[in-house]
Amino acid sequence: MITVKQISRSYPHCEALKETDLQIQDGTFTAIVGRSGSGKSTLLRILGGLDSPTSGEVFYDDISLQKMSEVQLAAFRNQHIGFVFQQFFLEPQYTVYQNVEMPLIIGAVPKRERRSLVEKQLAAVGLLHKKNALASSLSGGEKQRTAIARAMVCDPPVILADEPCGSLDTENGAIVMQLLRAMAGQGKTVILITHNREDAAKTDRIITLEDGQVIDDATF
Amino acid sequence: MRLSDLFSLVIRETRIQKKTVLAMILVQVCLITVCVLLWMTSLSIRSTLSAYLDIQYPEGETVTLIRADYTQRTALLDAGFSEIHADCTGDLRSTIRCTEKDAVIDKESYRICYLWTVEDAELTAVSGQLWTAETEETPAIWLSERAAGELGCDAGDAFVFESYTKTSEEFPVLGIYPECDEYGDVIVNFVPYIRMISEIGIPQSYGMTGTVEQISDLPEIRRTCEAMGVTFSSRAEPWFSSMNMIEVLLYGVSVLLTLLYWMTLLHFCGMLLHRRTSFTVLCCFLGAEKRRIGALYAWLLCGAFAVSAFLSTGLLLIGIYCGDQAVFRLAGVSCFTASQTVLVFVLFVLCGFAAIGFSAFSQQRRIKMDVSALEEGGVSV
Repeated sequence: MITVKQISRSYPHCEALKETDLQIQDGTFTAIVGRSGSGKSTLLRILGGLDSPTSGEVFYDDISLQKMSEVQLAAFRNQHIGFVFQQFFLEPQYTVYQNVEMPLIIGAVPKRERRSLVEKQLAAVGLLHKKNALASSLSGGEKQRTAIARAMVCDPPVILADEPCGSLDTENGAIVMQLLRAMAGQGKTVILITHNREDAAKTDRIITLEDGQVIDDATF
Repeated sequence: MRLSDLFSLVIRETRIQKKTVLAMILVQVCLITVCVLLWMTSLSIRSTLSAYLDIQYPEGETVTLIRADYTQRTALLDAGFSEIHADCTGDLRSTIRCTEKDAVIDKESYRICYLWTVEDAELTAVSGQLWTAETEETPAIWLSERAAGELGCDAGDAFVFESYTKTSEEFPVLGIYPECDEYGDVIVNFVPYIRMISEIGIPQSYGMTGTVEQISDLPEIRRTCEAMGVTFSSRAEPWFSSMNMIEVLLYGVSVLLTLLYWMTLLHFCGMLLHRRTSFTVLCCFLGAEKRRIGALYAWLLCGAFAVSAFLSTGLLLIGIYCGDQAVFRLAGVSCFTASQTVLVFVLFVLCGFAAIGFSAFSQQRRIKMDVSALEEGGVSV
């Protein structure tokens, strides 16, 4: 379970999050919605250990992210969290295989095991036939599926997706949402940041943020 | 991250940034070579210019001067020379003396021929026997009829070759031959002759090279040489008056070039890292520690720098040879020594590696883990 306790995040010109409390159960598919500047991306970065809150703490079960050293936090991200971003953030000069392989290399997984893990994930997102293609040569939907394969390759229990369909057409967006739904079906905790109500409607729970505070929390 | 994976990532990164890496290698090769050569020259200019002074004994009076050479050499050493070398070039100088008859073969009065070939003489001996294939290895001398008459020698007399302290074994006169332009006045069997010359250590030239400890010793050495009637010269002497200016100039240029070297090295480190900021951030997002990514770039940069250092050793050797030749022609001195080259070069290379390591890790530490860095860096393909 992910527990957010009294999280605040201030920047020089604004306060992105204001003493926010949140609990997200394991294996759920949760959407965090809100308008631009509502603090949802800041919340996702803090949940992913990419940013530190000004005050408050984030717990994964009983483990506090704020009490971890930089080295521990890096290892935690590698093993426990998969990231999917709107802009994909693939390395353009790497092949699809090399992009998906990166988290395993960082996690010091032996080469022989890596091959089967990468190919399994690429097959799951339907991109095994493109494994030797450069990331820069892929279409938007293929890039996002590659990013999803990369997020899943270490088999993390939590997937944080920041507007994953924001740069995609309706068809590819639907495919990505199906993949995220499938991940939740496999027992992963998927947290989706979006401002698209249709995408949010496909999740189990919608948390609405406004001005850095939770104003609505609906479970279906 | 495993070490083997780290190296494969280094190779992958090198391939991605190959143009920058190549430019870095070329610039570093040039700068390392020029900087090391300049520092070597700066550090050794004073001692270099104070070395290699030529001493020329007057021509003529072969015997006396060679004998005098020994005593004068002691005197010259006392005057401040740390080393004197006799060159083995030019005419072979030695005294050829028949002790029994008190006769000396004066090289200016008699034409000496050295017998190289193994063949029987085509002449008829006036007395004794002439050379054959069998006498090739035998120490032997043959005199023309005229030389034998003037020296008062005949077949059976023996000559020796003299150095300061030693004499060769005896070279007996095996025979007297009639006057013949082809063979001159004296024929010496060459093979035993050259063997003897090398055994007794006869200096084979008047030209000598001296080395002084300090430039300040020069006036005293010059006075001593002049008192002994020995010609003293140095093509480097005109440079002595402007020595301080040359030194300051060389050190100034060396310091400036070294600064340029550091600036370009750090610039290339910065350029290689800056272009891949987004990759660093991405790796951190995926769970890499910054210091691991720092290590990746440190290895990449160290590899490129090691290639530069390796290539510059070849260029340095060529530079040293050409520079030495050029300076020798200009000032008559050799300017570089191997020990200085190695020391300065090793210092440059070690400092280069240290700078690269420092730059790679400190710059990685400064990178902010922010999604905007990924967007700016173009990782979002």
